[in-house]
Amino acid sequence: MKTYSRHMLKTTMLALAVTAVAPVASAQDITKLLVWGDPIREPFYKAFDEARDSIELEFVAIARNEMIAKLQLALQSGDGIPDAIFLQDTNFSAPLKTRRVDYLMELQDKVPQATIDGFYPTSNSVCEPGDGTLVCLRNDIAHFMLWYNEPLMEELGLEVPTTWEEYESVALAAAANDSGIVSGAVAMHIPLMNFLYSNGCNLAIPVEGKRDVLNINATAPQCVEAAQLVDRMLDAGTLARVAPFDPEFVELAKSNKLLMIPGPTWFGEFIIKKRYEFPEGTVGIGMTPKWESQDQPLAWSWGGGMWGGWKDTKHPEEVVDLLTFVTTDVDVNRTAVTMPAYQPASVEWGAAFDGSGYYAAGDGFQTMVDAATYAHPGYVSLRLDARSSFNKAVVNDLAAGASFESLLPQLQEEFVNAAKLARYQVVVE
Amino acid sequence: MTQHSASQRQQRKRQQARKQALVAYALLSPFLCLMLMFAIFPVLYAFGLSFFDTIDYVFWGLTNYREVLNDYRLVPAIYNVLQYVLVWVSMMVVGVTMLSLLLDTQSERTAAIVRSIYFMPGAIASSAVVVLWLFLLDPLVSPFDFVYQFFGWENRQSTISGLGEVWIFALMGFLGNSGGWIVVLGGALSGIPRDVLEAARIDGANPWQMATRIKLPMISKTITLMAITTIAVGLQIFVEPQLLSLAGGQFDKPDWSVTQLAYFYAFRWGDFGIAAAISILSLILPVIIALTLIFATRFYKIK
Repeated sequence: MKTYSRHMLKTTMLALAVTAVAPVASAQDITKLLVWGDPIREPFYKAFDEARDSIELEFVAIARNEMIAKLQLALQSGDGIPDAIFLQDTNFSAPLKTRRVDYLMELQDKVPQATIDGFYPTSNSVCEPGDGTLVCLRNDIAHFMLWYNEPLMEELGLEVPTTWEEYESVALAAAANDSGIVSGAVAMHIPLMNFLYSNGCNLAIPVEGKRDVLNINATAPQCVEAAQLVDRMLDAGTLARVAPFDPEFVELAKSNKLLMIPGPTWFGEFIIKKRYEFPEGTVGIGMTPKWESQDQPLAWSWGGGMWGGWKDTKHPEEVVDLLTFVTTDVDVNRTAVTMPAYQPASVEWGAAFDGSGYYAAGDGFQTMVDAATYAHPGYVSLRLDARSSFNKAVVNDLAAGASFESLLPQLQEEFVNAAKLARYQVVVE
Repeated sequence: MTQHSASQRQQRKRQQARKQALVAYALLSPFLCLMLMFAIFPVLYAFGLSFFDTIDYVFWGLTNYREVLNDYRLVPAIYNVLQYVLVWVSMMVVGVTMLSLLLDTQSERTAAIVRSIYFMPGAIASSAVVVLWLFLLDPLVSPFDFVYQFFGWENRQSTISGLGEVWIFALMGFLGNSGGWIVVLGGALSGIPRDVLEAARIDGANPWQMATRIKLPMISKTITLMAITTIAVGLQIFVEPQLLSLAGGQFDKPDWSVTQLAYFYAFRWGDFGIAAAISILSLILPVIIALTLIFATRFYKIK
């Protein structure tokens, strides 16, 4: 009993001490922000936390596939809504700025135009719903490149293709005499999409100036031409009827049987280095090919995250400060895992990329910068889930042996249905 | 005197009965409370919600229902789920009954050991089962690669499209749930009076006749119960298709089942009204089954 009361006394004194200190702390006006993101982005938040004395961040790590669901719950309950958020998927911004879910803060009048102009052209398309607003800032860009195995290319006496038609013939030459050499894996949504979009095939591309109108024409000549190329390459065995991350394809790549593969800017670090385990100095980075009928290439993108703020946050200024810091701060972005979308920050990152010595040529970063100019302006955030629609309509049947061309009509039907469900007006042009 | 004591005895009996009823209700009350909170109330809440626009909270009648019925994904999802339930329930009824009857012919000790082994997969949560299956379905790592080779399936993609989602989910469900029911049917079988079996044996019934003519009719009620429970669980299929994307983005099936559509509306689009409407609609079938079970088949009537 005695020890108990002594303990009580201690606690009371401690409580008194705390209350005595508390007013001092609040006098310094520490702003607390709740922020969500994936663990990879924690250092970004941490750097901001350290750079600002008056701001304290509470970081919550959220898995990509749970992010939207958790945000819905928070918004529904009105409790624990993050002031700022890292969106791991380019398709997350559109669903968070609708009548049903109005989460994202509009940034067009809050972030200086000079800062916005510093981003790679079209990189912020995923943050522009089309009504002149800007609802997030792009973290990294992820347009397609052509990654290749340089020693193997030399050994075979082949040139790196600059057009998709050459890509087909080079791949065919490499596969001669049953060498078993492949040049890509396509039983997956985005690798297939890149063939269509790069040829100007319109598959849920917003019509200029109209926010709620999508152009969907999967059976147009450009789409058919691209699909036929894929079909010819599948028949010839130069494209594998699996996904690029499937274990059997990874085995092929590891055993020096992968000549080249179209892939986004993060493919080198995350797939070729870590999964395909290409030895140092063997990875070539080529410009994304164009089609013969085109004057310049057109590259689809695969991924790239964004930073957004809550429109009803109590501290809008601090949130905008945070969003600007994490996207534009050079020091933070130098060690980013993917190519920063803010040009000045990406230059430093590029120096580290080239300087790593992993890539065959020392100027791979410049090729990626050049390719950024050709990034498809139609790579925007949509209220429909284009990837799962694409999977549903094409990938399973293609993997089971169907030709890509024969699946275009059902792709058209699925996309039109999905777009109408998401309340888009559909035009076929 | 005797009259007085009789009425007294009766009164005491009544008091005792009342006390017993009270005890019964007291023991039932925690469950009733929980059921009210987590089953009845949510259903009523969802029912109310389904008539509202949950964004601006205005009453808009049947609009949510119209939205659901116009969703192009609904009919394929219903078709998927019905196919799945048909395949899975058939598997359960035939498979579990057969295994239980076979086990019943073994010695008690062997049967007990085998039954425990059958029960084991049921102890794994269904989400873990999905992950396990993703390996089993990959010819590169699966112990059943020879089976897949026989069919010409060289990779996970061709195995999954070769088997089809319906069969994959049904197999997952069968392996996860059959063990528990084998134990239940084992119990039902051991409840058959010894003298009946003895008499059959003396009359010259062989094991096949014993199984089909004597044991099967006597456990048919338990089999019916299993079929009905399986249907009810099967109609709610969610985890299996939802987690298929773990194998890779290309396997993602966000609109395969009706429950997934409800999830999609609530947690993708933030429209809890439409999600509530789907939930209410998908309650219709189980309610019909339950009412039929209780009132039409006299299932709970004690002989």
